[in-house]
Amino acid sequence: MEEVQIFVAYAEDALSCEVMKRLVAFRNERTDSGAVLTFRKGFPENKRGFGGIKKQIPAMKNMADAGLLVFVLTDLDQRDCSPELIRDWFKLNDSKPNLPEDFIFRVAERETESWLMADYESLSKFLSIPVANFPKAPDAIERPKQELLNILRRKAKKRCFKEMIPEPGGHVGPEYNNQMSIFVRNHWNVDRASGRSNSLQRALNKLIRFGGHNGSTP
Amino acid sequence: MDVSRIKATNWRNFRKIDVELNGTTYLLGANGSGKSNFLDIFRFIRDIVNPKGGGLQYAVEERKGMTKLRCLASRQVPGIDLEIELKENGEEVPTWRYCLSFSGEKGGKRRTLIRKEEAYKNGELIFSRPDDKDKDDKDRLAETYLEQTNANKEFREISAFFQKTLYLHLIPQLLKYSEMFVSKQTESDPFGQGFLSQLADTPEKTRVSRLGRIEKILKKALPKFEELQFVKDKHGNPHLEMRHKHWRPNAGRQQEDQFSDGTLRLIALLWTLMSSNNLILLEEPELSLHEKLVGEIPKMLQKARRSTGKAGGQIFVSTHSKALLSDPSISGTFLVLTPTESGESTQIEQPTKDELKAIELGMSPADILLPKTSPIQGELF
Ligand SMILES: Nc1ncnc2c1ncn2[C@@H]1O[C@H](COP(=O)(O)OP(=O)(O)OP(=O)(O)O)[C@@H](O)[C@H]1O
Ligand SMILES: [Mg+2]
Repeated sequence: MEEVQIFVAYAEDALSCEVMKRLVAFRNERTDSGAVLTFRKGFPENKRGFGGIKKQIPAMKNMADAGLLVFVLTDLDQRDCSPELIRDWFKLNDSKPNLPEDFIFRVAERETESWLMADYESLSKFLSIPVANFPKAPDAIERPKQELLNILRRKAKKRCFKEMIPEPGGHVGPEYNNQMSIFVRNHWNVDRASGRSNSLQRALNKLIRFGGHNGSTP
Repeated sequence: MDVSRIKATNWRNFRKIDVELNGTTYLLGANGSGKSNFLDIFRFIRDIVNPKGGGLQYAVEERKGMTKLRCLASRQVPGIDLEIELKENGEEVPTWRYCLSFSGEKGGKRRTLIRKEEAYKNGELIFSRPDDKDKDDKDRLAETYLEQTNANKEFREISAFFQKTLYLHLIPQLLKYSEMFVSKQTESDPFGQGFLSQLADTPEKTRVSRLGRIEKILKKALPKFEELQFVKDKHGNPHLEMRHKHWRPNAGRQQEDQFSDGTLRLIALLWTLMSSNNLILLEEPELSLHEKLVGEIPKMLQKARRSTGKAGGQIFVSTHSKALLSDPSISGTFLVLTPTESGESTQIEQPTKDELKAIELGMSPADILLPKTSPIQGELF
């Protein structure tokens, strides 16, 4: 089968990189026709925050215009909506900003953690924390990562999950990315999560549509 | 004259190397991927042509023998082959091509013996060994023509080229506490123990001018730095001295053993760049330096290459540094060292057409090439 290479893929943190990989794998399973998406060696890359990604938008747009496939996953955080973020980052004025076909730019609302918590059944089982502790409407969580860490602070029992909690001044604990990545790879039910999170659903649709028909851009 | 192409088989962790080079060469790769091994090809040839006791036997013994040198992953080929082309700027045909194949002697004195040695000038063969004389007298095969001044008259330019190779991998502690390390200070002085004597051996006028230029740069790079001087103590030993602004008037000066690691490395880097018109090998020049300074290194290299009174001076740099590789002025040849599919040796990849295109479109080598060298998927912890 034909392979289409994602030339550059960026996310804000290690966990989001795992999510990108899982989504692409999921997409490849779901599309029965067309090309298989692969990452170029070394990607997705963890850019450690959105600053580096934002700075490189112009160069990435050039690449996408030249037919090199770019995939970016970033967090909406406290912004109003993703079109606003796109207009700002891409310096566009249109109300419905359009990006090059080869630029898959996806915004998690509000953070990647919302997408993961959207499958609260699996997450509850994975962390051995009763499901009642998890919020049920992922898009309504203001600070998803904080929310998740708070749940862990209150309820985590096993040592490896306790080590996901940050020390004072830190953002996450040493086991955070590791455990959550395991969850993403082996336990996260993408179907179920996308049924509850709008931004995840749209990200998946975009990926599935991409290269779905003739192996090149749709 | 620059090294324009380099080929090798079975050199350390490389089964095969064949790369064409242009401008400054940057070597990228994970720890242990062979960056230093690659640079060692040039140091090896320098050891062969070293007029003070060098030679093929010496060069191999310095590296603990053929078994350590020859690629562990190699099977059929018994020895090591090296081939180097030197080209004048803008020429089509390389001015020089030098090939050397050698392997360990079976039994006997267990020397390293030449299997093939050839030199070409402007594409034409000058000599090829083993020749008839070699067949009569096997001992001759223990020495390259390159290392014999009476044999290499016609191609002395090649040895001269490599004799002047400079290797910089200054370890500040070795310089600061030289008395604590009863190290053998090799002729080639790889780790900087001899840096001060090198300063002392430089004609005064040149030294003063270079240190003056270094001082200017340090003034910008080091907060409160004021003055850099070369002095000799009462025993005649060379030292560097530094003075800072706002020190009490009689606070005196600091000598090199009190310099910070980064200061020493920066001074050595600048000195090396100023002191050679030839091949310069830089090991991870980013070490100990603030990221802001690291980002200036590509410009430093370009300026050194272009500076007046210099014929060029080709530079090879091994680096892990994002800051260095994302400076917008960076240009040259980028070699990415990656494990082969089977993982038993390393291959050298040059950027693909798409990767070059991406760099042209505004991405940096750090963005496009460095991720390929990442040793781990995800995180270690
Ligand atoms: N003869 C040989 N055959 C195979 N591998 C070898 C041979 N000699 C050395 N090596 C391997 O080469 C590696 C060291 O390479 P080198 O020191 O050049 O790495 P490097 O890229 O400079 O790494 P660093 O960034 O850590 O300095 C080691 O893994 C060593 O096992
Ligand atoms: Mg090294």
